[in-house]
Amino acid sequence: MIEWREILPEYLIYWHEVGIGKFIRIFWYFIIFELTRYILIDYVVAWVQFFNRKKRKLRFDAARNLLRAENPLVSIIVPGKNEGKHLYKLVKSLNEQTYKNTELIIVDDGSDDDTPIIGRSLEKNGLIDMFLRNEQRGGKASAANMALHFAKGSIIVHLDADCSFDCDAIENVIVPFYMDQRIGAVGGNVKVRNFEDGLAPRLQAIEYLKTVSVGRIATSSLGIYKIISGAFGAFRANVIQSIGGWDIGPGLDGDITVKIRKSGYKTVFEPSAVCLTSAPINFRILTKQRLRWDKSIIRFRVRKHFDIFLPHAGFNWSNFFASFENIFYNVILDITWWIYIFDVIVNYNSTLHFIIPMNFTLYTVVAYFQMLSMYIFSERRKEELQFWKYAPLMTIYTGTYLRIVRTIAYYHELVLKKSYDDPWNPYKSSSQAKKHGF
Amino acid sequence: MLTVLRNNDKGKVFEYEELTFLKVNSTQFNLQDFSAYIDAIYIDTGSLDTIQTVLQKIRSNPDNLLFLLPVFAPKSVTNNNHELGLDGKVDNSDFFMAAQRTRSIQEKISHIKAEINTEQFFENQVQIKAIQFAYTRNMPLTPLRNRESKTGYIYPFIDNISSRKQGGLINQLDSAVNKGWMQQELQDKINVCPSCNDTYLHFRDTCSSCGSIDLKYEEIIHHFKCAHVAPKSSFLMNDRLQCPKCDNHLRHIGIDYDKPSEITICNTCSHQSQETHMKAHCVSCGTESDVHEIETRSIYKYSITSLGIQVAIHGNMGTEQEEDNNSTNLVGWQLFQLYKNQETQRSMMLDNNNRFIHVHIQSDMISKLNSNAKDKFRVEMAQIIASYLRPEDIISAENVFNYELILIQPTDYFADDLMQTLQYNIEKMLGDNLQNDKTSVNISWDYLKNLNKQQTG
Repeated sequence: MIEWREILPEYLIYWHEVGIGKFIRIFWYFIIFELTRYILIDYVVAWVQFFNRKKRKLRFDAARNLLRAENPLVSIIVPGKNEGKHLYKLVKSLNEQTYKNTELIIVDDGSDDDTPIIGRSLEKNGLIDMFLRNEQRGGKASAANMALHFAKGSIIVHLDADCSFDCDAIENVIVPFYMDQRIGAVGGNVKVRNFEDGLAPRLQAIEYLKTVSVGRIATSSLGIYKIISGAFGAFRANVIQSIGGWDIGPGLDGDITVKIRKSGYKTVFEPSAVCLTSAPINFRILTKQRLRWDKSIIRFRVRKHFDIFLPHAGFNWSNFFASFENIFYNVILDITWWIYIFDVIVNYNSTLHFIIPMNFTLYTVVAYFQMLSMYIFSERRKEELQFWKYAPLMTIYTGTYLRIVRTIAYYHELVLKKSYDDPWNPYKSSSQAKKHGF
Repeated sequence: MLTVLRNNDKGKVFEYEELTFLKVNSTQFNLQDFSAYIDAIYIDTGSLDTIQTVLQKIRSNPDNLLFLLPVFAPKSVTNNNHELGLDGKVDNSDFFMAAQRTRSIQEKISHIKAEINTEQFFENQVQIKAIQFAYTRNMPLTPLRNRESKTGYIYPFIDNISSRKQGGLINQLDSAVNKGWMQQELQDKINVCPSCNDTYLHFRDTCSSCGSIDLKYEEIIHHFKCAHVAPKSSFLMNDRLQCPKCDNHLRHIGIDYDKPSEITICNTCSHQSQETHMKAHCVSCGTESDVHEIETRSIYKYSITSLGIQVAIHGNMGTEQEEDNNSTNLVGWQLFQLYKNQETQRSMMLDNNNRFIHVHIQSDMISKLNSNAKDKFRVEMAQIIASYLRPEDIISAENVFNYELILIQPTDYFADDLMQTLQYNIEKMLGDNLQNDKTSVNISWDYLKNLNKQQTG
């Protein structure tokens, strides 16, 4: 008879032998932080959602009826540079929307390609309600603010030009405004469209499902939803106008969410409002994008909106936890991870050949648990089943690659304030932002 | 020294250095009475209208001994010689300069053996006259700026030839260029109203939504510090620029703020846009046209070529064909009528099956075209129809709507097939090109031998 010891790999037998105490000591980082955040919380939220699903559906349907009865004008604003090649597809995608009372405003932020010709042509043919062009580039925030100024709708939907939408996406993203008057902004569910273009977009597709779809359902349910994606978000016009629109980025989508929350409104995530976007197709572009995103956490969450953590008249615990969760799980846990690595290398150097495969195994098992949670929450279950075979790679992608990128970004921003040098914004704006400490 | 030879109410004839001048001071004279012996004409009046009328009377005369006569007027006439089409001005009855000019012109006239054939199409007459005038004056036909002209330019000689619209006659100069009689040199380009060919156009921006001209323009300001972007009016606070978002004063353009664009606001419909429609308003006929509808024309100076000199002296040796006609089937309307009458008689005598076909096109849109466009359409349509014909058949166009064909002893199959083809192709072509227009094509036919019966019946 074959003994189980003969079948199992040696490292598993080792961990069986050393006992639970040493296991917890060595894998403390995984057990304390990763397991709780990505497994326990997700599944608790999944259960709560499951039990409340009928109630929520009734509320959602009632709100949709109210929306249809009122039929407010929705201004869809699309700021961007050199986005002309995406405009026709975008217009076609928006024409398919179930919600029709919309105006489409495109702002060309100093494009140096054929965007103005394409935009003017679409405007002339009535496919765009307003095409605005700034000859001099001012940055994405200024372009969005320009669109905001000319928008006539009571609800503003901010989009990226390279996105496409489920045909009920616009309707679904504005329904939550009719569920609760205190909701000031709603984030759409952004997924990756070009996941077939290579390994990088495929891994991002899984990451988006994990952090954007499932992660934001969780934070939204807990009332600490802290980032409305720039690719697809909706805002009450009066709310966004009262806070002066967008401030200089990068990271302006996270910044405006905090500003809305600070002004006393709720921000929620709407998973049924699905938008597909194009993710970077290789790791070089992805690294640049993530460095920019991660730097913005330091610039906005830690510096600009640090007052959220301080006692003052407008102090709000949910805002506190929303920012705390963001800073804790990104910045603090990133530093902690390096401490953990140091701890393991120094103290358990001789057993690394047991630790590394076990660590990989744990993260792979967790990755599959996460795939299961994505499966539970998703409305595209069948299509997304193909991602399951890539789950083991997520250990390296999120556990190592993204952590290293994040660490570099934090260093750049904390020590060198590199976000102000990012060519994503024109120098004239960045220099002013740096001068005034924004 | 001046010697008066004859003096009556029709005109005064006098001699100066062996040259005979006819002196007229009104339009009441008959040029033919003096044609045999005068060398030049002196219009002794300060009235521009009279000078113009006398010049027209002379230049429009088909006799090349007369229409080419040198014409002078008193120096007191303020207008430029060239503007009027004069050959010179006479100072205090001093005819010295006039005599010199007359001799030079008369010498050239003496070379001319060709006569203007009044049987020719008027257009051909114009071409011959133009090259003969250019030859005898030894100078090109130069366009002159003139506010009263529709195109803003006049060719004095061409204006004096006929009271017909100048535009059409200028086209004859282009035809003379195509024939190699003249060469052209670009002087200017003009925009003309597509409806009346006038250049008096007012260009203005109109609202892209309602077409109103009541527009207001506002600069857009971008405040760098807070990324606020809005029209300048929302930044104006007590004559200073203050950001409505962050309350900061905007002091320095390029450092605090910039003006990346401009917005247009319509005072009629409140539409805001960066896109306005440039439209042209014709002051003469009131037509409002989009810029792309405006026709651009070139204004040329025309000089005679060596071939032109030969034609001016010896006449046109070539066969007469209609303008723009590349097809041997296509002939002028008058010639066609002559031919039709003859062929009708012949068909009656020989009792053959020559066919006469009449094509009539009905279209509101075509009827609204200006004369130039109609002309082009007529020639193009006739050429298209001619392309289906055999070498022995002929076609002519009465106008843009009516085309007549004579088929010489066609087989019934060919004739019927041709009519069906024409019906289908013309309808399709009009349908494709004039989509919003109600067009119809009627094709009728008869044997030529029956035409006379119909007319007498």
